[in-house]
Amino acid sequence: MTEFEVVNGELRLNKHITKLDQFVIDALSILEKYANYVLISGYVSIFFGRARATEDVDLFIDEITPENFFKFYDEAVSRDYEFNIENPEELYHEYLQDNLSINMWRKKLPLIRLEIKIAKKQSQKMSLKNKIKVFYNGGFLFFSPIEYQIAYKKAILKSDKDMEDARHLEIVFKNLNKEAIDSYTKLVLEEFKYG
Amino acid sequence: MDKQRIFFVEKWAEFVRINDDEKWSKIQAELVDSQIENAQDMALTKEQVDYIKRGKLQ
Repeated sequence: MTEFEVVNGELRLNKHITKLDQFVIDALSILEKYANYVLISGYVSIFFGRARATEDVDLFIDEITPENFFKFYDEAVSRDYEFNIENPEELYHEYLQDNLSINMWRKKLPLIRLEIKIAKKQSQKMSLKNKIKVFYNGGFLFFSPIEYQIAYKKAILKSDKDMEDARHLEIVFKNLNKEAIDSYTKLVLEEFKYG
Repeated sequence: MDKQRIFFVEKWAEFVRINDDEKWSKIQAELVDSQIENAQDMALTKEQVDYIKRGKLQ
């Protein structure tokens, strides 16, 4: 029986690693050297079993210094990744620091992308702070609290796909904290009222 | 929400919930991998992908 349960901020599972998972694992093995990250949005539901793929794997990172960002960029490029802009200065100052996401993908495979954004809003920072460590087979990844995902998808995004993602998480996770969902819901509604 | 779609989402989630990781993830991997392979087969350029995705909120 699978029913996932987060205990003390951790969860363990043994699953078949998909090509999408492998892309995420490989790309994050570079990023994690330079920044704290947390996976969010559709990929969270997919990692925990939702029967769909995605082209965009979204994540938040902590504030990152220009030096660390340029090191990350250089290593990624040297390992055959590309970015939406080929100028790291512009990526850092005009995108990341301007609250825009940057895209990273395997050379010649631009349809599957990591979308990296700095956590600026309080709920996004809380998502990073309260991230869960998920051990899979031989490694681990950091995911947003499931309660945050459910709240954000149901209160803000609200597309059919997002409502379905939220429903999936509600069913496969055990002991979800309903107070945390309510609290995240109030917070994101307040934050996104002003854009 | 489309009632039929949500019915199948719930049905699949229930399958994930009551079965071992090994069982559900093998089926899921086949589905996800086939979608990824289809995307790779399209071999679109970065510019073509940007064109398709244009309009997406950042």
